[in-house]
Amino acid sequence: MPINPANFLSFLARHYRAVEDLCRQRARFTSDDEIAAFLQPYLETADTNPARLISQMKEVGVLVPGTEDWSPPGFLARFLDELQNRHTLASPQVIQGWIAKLTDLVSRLEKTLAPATVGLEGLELDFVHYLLDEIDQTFRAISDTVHGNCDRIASEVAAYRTIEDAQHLRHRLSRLVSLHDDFLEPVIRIIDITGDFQAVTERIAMACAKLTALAEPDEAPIGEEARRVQQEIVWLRRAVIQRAEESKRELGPLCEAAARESRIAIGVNRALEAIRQGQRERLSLERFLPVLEDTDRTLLVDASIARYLRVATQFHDQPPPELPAEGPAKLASYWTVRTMLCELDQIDEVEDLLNWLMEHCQGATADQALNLLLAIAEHRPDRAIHAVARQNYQIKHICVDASRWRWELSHGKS
Amino acid sequence: MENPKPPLPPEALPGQLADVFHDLRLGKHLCRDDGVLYRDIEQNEATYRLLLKQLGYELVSHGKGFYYLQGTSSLSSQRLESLTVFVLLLFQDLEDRKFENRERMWEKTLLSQVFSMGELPHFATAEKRKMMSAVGVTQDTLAKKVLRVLASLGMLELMPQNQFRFRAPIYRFVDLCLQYASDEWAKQGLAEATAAAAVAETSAQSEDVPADDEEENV
Repeated sequence: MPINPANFLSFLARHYRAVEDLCRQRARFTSDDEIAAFLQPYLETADTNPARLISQMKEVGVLVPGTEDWSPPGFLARFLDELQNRHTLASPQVIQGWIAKLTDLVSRLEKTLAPATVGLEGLELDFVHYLLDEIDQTFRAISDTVHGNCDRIASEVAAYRTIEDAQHLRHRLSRLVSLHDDFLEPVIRIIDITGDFQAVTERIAMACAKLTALAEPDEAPIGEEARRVQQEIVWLRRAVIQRAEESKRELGPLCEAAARESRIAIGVNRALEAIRQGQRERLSLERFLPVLEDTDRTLLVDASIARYLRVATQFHDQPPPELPAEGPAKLASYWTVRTMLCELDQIDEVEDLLNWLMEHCQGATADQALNLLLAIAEHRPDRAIHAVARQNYQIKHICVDASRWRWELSHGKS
Repeated sequence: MENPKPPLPPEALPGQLADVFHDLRLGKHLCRDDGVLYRDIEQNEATYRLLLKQLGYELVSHGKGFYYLQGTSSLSSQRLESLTVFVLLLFQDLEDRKFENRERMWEKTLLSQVFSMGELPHFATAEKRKMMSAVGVTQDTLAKKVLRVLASLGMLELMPQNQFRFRAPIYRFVDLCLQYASDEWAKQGLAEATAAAAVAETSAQSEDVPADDEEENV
C-alpha cells in the first residue's frame, strides 16, 4: 500500500523522539508486545492507547514488515540522519557565544587569582575548581562543535562527489558554497591565530600557569587540575585549527571553482544580453580584448623588398615630356554608310551624290568618298540613280573622272 | 645629453627571434604548445621585452602561461565580435552542462576537452542561430570565419575529423567574461542607460513644447 507523505510527515512530527530512537537503535520487533514495550517511555499520557499507536505506525509506514519482523524502513534512518546533520550544524554565532562564555570564565578566574601572590591562601578553591571545570567543558564543546561541523562538511563534499543527478548537484553545490561562506570561513576567522579564540585561550593558559605555580608549594590537587587544563588547551587548540584547515582544503577548491565559474557565467550572460539588445558597443572589445594586427606586417619580408626594388629599377632620371598647353585636335569622325543613308532618307532629291558626300564628309579622302558612294548605290538601288554623263571631281589634290549619281525619290514612294 | 644605448650584439639576440617576432606580429598568442618558440621567450623574456619595446610593442605575459603582443593597431571590434559570440555561447553551454561531467566544473577541463564541430551548441536553437547570424556566421562559414581565425591567433588547435581543442590563450576570453561580471562594467552600463533615458526624455519634452511661432498661431 502506498505511503501518504502528508500523513507520514505528520506522524513523524508528533512522535519524533520515538521514531528517532527507533531508527538509531535499528529496532526490530517480532510482536506488537515488543513494540508496545519499546514505546512505553514515549507515551505522553496514560490514556494513550499503545495498540492504536502501533496500528498507526504500520499504516503510515514508520514500521514495515520484514520476513519475520517489523522494523523502520531504511530510508527513514537516512532521512533523519540527513535532517539532523543539517540542523545541528553550529553557526559561527554559537561558537562566538561559547568564546564569550570562555572570556567571562577566564575573567572571573583572573579576578579570583589576582590577590594571590605566593600560595593558595585566601582563594575560594571550590569556585576555582568550578571555573576550571566550566572552562574545560566549554572548551570541549567548542572543539566538538568545530569537529562536528567539519565532519558534516566532509560528508557533504563526499555526497556531492557521488551524486549523479544533475539537478540535485546544482542545489548541493550551492549548499556547499553556503557551508564554506557561512560556516567554515567565519569559524576559521574566529579560531585563527589572530582571532578571539586564540586570545581567550592564551589568557586561560596564563591563568592556569599562575594557578599551577601557586599550588606548587602545597602540591595541592587544584594545581594538577590547572596543569591538565593548560595542556588540554594547547592540544585542543591545535587540533581544532588543524581540523578546520583540513575542511577548508577539502571544500575550498570546490567553492573557489564554483564561485569563479559563477562569475564567468555572470559575465557571459551579461555580454550575451547586451548583444541580444543590440548594444554591441557596450562590449568595448577593442578595449577589453586587444588583439594585435599589424597592417604593414609584410614591410620587412623579402617579397616586400623585391617589390620595392622592382619599382626602384624603373626609375628614370629624365623627367617625362611636358604636355602641350593646347588640347589635342578633335578626332576626325568616321563616316558610315548607315549615317549617310539616315541623312539621305530625310532628303527628297540630291543632284550629285558625290558632291553631296564631299560636302558632308569634310576631310574624307577620295577612296572614302567613292566607297561611301558605292555602298549607298548598292543599299538604295531604287533611289541612287546612275546618270550617263561623266564629269571630273576634284577631291583634295586628286581629280576623279566619274559618272554622276543622283538621289531621287523612289517611284513607289511618290 | 643622454648616451644612446649600445645595440645588442647579434650573439645576444634570442635564437628564435625571427619566428617569434613574425608570429607575435600576426596577433598570434604563443603558449607551451608552441614548444621551442615559447621556451625561447620564456628564457629570454627580458631581452624580448626590451627589443619589442624599442619597436613600439608591449610583450604581455599571461598568468596562464602564454605571451602575446600589444601595439597601436589591433583587430577591429567587428572582427572580434564573431569570435566573442562564438566563445561566449560555448562557455554558456559548458556552464549549463557542467554537472553532466565527472569533474562538475568546466573551467578546469577547458583545455583538455575536445570539441566536435558537429556537436556545438551554436546552431541548436533559434535564439543561438540568430545571434550567430547577427555576427555573420552560419554553420557553413563557422570554420572559416571563426575557428580558423581563432587558430591563427593561437587560441585553439584544429584537429582531424572536424574537432578542435582550446589552447591556453583562450583564457583571454575568460578574463573578458570576468571583466563583464565586474561591478564597474555593470555600473558603466547603468550610467549609459540612464544617460540615454535622460536624452530620450529631454527630446520627448522638447517635442511636447510647442515652438514660438506655433504658440502665436494658437
